[in-house]
Amino acid sequence: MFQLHYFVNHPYLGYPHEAAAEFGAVMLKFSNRHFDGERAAELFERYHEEYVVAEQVGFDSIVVNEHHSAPAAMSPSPNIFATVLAKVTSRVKIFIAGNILPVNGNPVRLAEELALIDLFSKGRLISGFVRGGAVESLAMSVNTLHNREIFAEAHDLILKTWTEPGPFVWEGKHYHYRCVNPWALPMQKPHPQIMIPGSTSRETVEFAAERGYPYVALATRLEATDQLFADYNEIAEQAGHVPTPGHRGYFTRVHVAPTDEQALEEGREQFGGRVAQITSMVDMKIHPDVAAWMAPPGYVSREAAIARRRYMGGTPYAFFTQGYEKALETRQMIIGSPDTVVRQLNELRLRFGVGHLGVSHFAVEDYGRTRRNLELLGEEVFPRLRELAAED
Amino acid sequence: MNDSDQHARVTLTGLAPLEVLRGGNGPTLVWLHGEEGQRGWLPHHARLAERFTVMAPTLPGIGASELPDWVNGVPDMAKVLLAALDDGGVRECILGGVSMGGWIAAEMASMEPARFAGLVLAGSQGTATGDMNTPDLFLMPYRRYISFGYNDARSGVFQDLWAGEFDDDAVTQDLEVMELSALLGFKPYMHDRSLLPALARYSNPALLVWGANDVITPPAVAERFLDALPASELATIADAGHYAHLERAGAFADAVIQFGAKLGTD
Repeated sequence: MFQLHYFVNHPYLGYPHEAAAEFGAVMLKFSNRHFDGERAAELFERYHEEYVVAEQVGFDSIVVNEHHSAPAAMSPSPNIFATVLAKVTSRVKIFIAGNILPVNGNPVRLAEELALIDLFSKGRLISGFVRGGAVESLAMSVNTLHNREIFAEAHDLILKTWTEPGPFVWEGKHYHYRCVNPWALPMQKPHPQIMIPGSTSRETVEFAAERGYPYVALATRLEATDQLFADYNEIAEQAGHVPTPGHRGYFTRVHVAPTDEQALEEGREQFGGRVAQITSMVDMKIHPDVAAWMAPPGYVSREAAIARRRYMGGTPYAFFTQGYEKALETRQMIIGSPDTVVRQLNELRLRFGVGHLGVSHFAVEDYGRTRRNLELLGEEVFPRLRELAAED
Repeated sequence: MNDSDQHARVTLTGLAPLEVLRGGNGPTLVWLHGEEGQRGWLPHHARLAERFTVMAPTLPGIGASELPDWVNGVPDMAKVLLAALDDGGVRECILGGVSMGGWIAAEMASMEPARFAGLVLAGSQGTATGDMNTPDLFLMPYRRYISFGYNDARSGVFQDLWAGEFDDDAVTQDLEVMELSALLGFKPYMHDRSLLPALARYSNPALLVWGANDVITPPAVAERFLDALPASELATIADAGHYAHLERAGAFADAVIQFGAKLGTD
């Protein structure tokens, strides 16, 4: 069944952009002396209230994620958000997209925590697992060389913890347990739904497709997305799975207002605001170390690293440096009146054959605007999108 | 400079095939490169080869030297290299290394102290600086890190080796070296708490060669090795950074040759 997801980033709004522009980056080494606890506490109140609104307007899930050491997302543990969601909502799925397995460090404890979230929410957990951006491993001092191996081993261990009666011994390459036997297990059987979010890394597509896990593309460029779903379908079929729309998801940035004109005007401001949250790009000379934070040793294959060096095309901030008009033209943002947004989201749905569409809202200072965006989505966009999806 | 006139490439096998650049005559000096990699038979090799039989292994995981899949740190790496020396019949020699290679050499010396008549550590890693301002190999682009290892990165001696156009082979070695460095020194960052205490076992003479302006392993690090090694002395190379062997090859080689002469291994 066609599902609509609401992606909340939990950004810190209002740090001094001039300080970030001067430093040349808004992550990892951008000093937390610019953090204000009172401000953050206010913002968390608001984001938690937003969860409730998102449920009321008809989203099927609320999506939370994990990032470290950056104001763009104050979300060091998605499980904490998921716990709040379990208590303040009653219907929506709680989609963790996802826990960064290599950073988490203790798969058995993670399996236990996720079990509690599933129990607290009466079986509403969707558990996403990710490798994380390289910078997350650097922030947590986890050896990037082993990222892929740890990801796969932690996944296997969590799945076994959920599905095979304990106690059992685990002697892997990276994890060693004498006695795995957590008492509290998930409510969903055989285990909570697993979905794999990604941003086109071929290995992650393979990981999901081989296991028949739905793959969710996170605001990837459209042509790259065509290719990754073609790859996904081929690999899944080879592995004996029958890929359906439910196996494919696409999340993108959406803003809706009563008219195209108003939406486009607000969207420009929001694009600028998100650019500033992530990059302070407006007047920023990028710090010379940032490229290394995106590609530390072993994080990508040598072939990919050589290719990247040879064709210096991709920059870490490609989305943000392209500018607002280009972002609209390439459909990296869906912005407009309800009619426009229905049409463009439906085009993406059909183009990728996805059964999951995700809306990532750009948080702005004006919370009223966020609420209006959500209400318009619920009242005018979703019913029509669901009708169109049901007609297929 | 014509490489082939001065050195040969040989392969030793102990626990895994190890490529070694070998040249010169005299007592054997085994010289380990560090995270700067094996960038050919360079001036410091040539100068050392005037007095020593220089054996410069390419560290496992780089180029033709194979990395066994069980290697997970410097002690494992030391075992691989000791086994290769066994295979090469290298019984008594002077052992030295630079930066991460110095750390590996120190580990080898603590394991088999009697085997090495002399130990040369140049800007050796293996102890923590604990300083946020120390350049971190994994938090910046590789060649930018290397540039911090020079007293003057605008000099021709840096530019010639690191700053020109470089081909896919050079980039491949950058990646191989980075991956090996991450395997050995990502966490804890480039150190091992057991290294200095265990060096007390090594009572033969040791030379610490340090660039006067080393910011990667600042001179205070040399002091720690001086304290840890019972019979050690320090040679400071003026106008040099961390990679003194590359930046001031002549002065560096002179210090090592002088040390070797005192050992009476000729």
